Amino acid sequence: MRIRVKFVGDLHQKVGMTDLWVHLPDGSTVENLLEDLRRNGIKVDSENSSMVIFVNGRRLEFIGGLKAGLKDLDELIIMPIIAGGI
Amino acid sequence: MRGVLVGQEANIFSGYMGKILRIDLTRCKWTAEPLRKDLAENFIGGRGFGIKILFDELEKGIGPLSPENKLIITVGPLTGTKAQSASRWIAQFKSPLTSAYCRSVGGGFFGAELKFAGYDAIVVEGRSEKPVYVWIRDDGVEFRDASRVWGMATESTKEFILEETDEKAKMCMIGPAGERLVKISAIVTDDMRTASRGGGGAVMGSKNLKAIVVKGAKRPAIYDEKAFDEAVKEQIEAYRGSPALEHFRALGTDGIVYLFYMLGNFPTYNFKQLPLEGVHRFAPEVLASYVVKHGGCFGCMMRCWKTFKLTKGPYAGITWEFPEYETHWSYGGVLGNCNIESITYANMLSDLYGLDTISTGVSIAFATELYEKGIISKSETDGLELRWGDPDVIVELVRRIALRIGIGNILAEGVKRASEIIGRGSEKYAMHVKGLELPAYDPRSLKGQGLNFATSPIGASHCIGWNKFEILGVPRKVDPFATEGKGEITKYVQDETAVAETAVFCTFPLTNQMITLDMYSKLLYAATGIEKFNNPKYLWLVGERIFNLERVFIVREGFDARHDAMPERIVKEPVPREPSKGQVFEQDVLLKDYYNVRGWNEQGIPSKEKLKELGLYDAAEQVGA
Repeated sequence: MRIRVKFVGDLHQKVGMTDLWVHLPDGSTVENLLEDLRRNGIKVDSENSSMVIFVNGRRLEFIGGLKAGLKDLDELIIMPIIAGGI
Repeated sequence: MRGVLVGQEANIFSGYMGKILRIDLTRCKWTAEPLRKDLAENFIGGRGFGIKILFDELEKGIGPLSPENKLIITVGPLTGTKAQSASRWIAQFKSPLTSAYCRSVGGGFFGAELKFAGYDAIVVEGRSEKPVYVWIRDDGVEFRDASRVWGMATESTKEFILEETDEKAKMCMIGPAGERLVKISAIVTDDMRTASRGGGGAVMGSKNLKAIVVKGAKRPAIYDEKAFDEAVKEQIEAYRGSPALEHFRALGTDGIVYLFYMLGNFPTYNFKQLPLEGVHRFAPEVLASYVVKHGGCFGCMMRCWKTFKLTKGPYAGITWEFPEYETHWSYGGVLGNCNIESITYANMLSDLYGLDTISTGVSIAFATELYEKGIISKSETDGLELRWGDPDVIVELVRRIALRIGIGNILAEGVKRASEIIGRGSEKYAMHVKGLELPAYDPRSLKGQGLNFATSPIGASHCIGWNKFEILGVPRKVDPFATEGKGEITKYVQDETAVAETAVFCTFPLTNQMITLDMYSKLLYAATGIEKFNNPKYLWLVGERIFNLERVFIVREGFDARHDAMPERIVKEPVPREPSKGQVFEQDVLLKDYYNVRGWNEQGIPSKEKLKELGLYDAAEQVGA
């Protein structure tokens, strides 16, 4: 299956691209996807609380975390939790 | 320069200038009164001084646009010192938009200059017969004819007045919107920082007061220079240790527009919360491409001001102060608009006319939904087709609201009154609490933030108690959708903000834990030498005291639990998009918990015991339950 991954904010500068397609075996999870990215030199520290991951607009922590399953054409957005606001 | 200096004795305080300037516009007279020790000790400064003066001096039920209303402008004991982010200024008054109390905060250099001219507060009273501006210097106050600048936009007003006074003077003023008594008009500084909310511009307009201009050479004394320098050093270290410093320096409040949309905080289409087409244009890397200059307020290393340059479309060539997070929403997301050029242009018009961008955008969203639903027709919009996301219509309506043209004359009253004028069930689409338009946070996605909108004494303001627990997860992480425990954290952020605004600190570092009340206590004690301030617990008490006095002020005006109410949509219509899909605002449960935590009864009235515990004896007698 193919998963679209987008990098937002200063993350896309660190990664060197704004988005990419990742090919994964069926039944893969978000954890598998991050491992795949890591093997390709893109390190996303999911333990780091300053990073947030959305799968089809839903925050990862509300859909089962790293073990959440993925399906063909899902869209992942990875972005830094920027302090600030107001 | 004729006026009265009352109490010529030396300033008994450090940190303070020791004088409150009273300006009587009816008689063109001024008085410099000595700062009372009990006022300083019990209310510290800034927001505390403002509400105490309003509570003591305003009669219940006076007209907000009558000469009886007073405009209080305050600074704090840290303003104009080396302390970081402490030089904001506050405007407080009875609001013509809500008929409740209002406190609105501005930045720039005006606050520090007011202090350098020798004052901790200004009380503006009465109404001038003709347009005037007041020119405040070290040696007194002058009332000057403003007929030449009356009718001018802010930028020209600044240019003409600084030429007539001193090019290095600082000022706050109104534009054509305030002159026309637009209820959503702002007070604007020479550096285009605004105290926007609640219609302060109209209060100045009603008094025929175009501007307040200040220039001073005095400086506040510091009680213990060594301890103060140490405390400032500690503050600077805390700033340097925070990731928020870099984020604010890079893109100000704009870094979070896209993120907050994704988190469900950022409401779209008048809070219908439909997915926003083109939202990727709010991504930080896109917004960063517009920035050509950075700047900041007096005594602040955050430097969160950005200047945008427009190079494309009909507004190419415009270079102006950037739209903040709120304005990307009010002229953007809430209107279904992702055209950055039109948002920046509408923001510029708002600064020039002197408008609150939040209330103006929400008023336009209100009209757009009424048009969509067929409640109003083209014959009532002067031929304009009000479509979601049409940049030209947005810009045109900003102009019509500021100048009270056609439908703009109705929207200039704010959504609450506009819906009363229009009728036909339109109140369902008027997004406000107590008459103040909702800002860029969906109460259904952030229950504590919503509880703060419901209970804020000025109406739906995000600045009265920004819920950092839910939004940033500091000082501890709290589930934004949960209802349990929200009373306690709402009280926490409201009381903390109230006392931080006695300094007058900016809320940006406060909400990011770069300023704590422990830190404030050290700075405050070193600056003033007032023993009571050497205890953070006392500061928490003063925060609660200020917040309760503000509540008592509006209770005296007839407000109670019935007015702590969200628009129907927020309570009844579940959010249709992720991640808050299905959420509503559980108003009754949340309010019950909050009143209980506050020591207020079920009608939302503070108990006599609570008010006495806070040292508010007059308030306890007048309205305590």
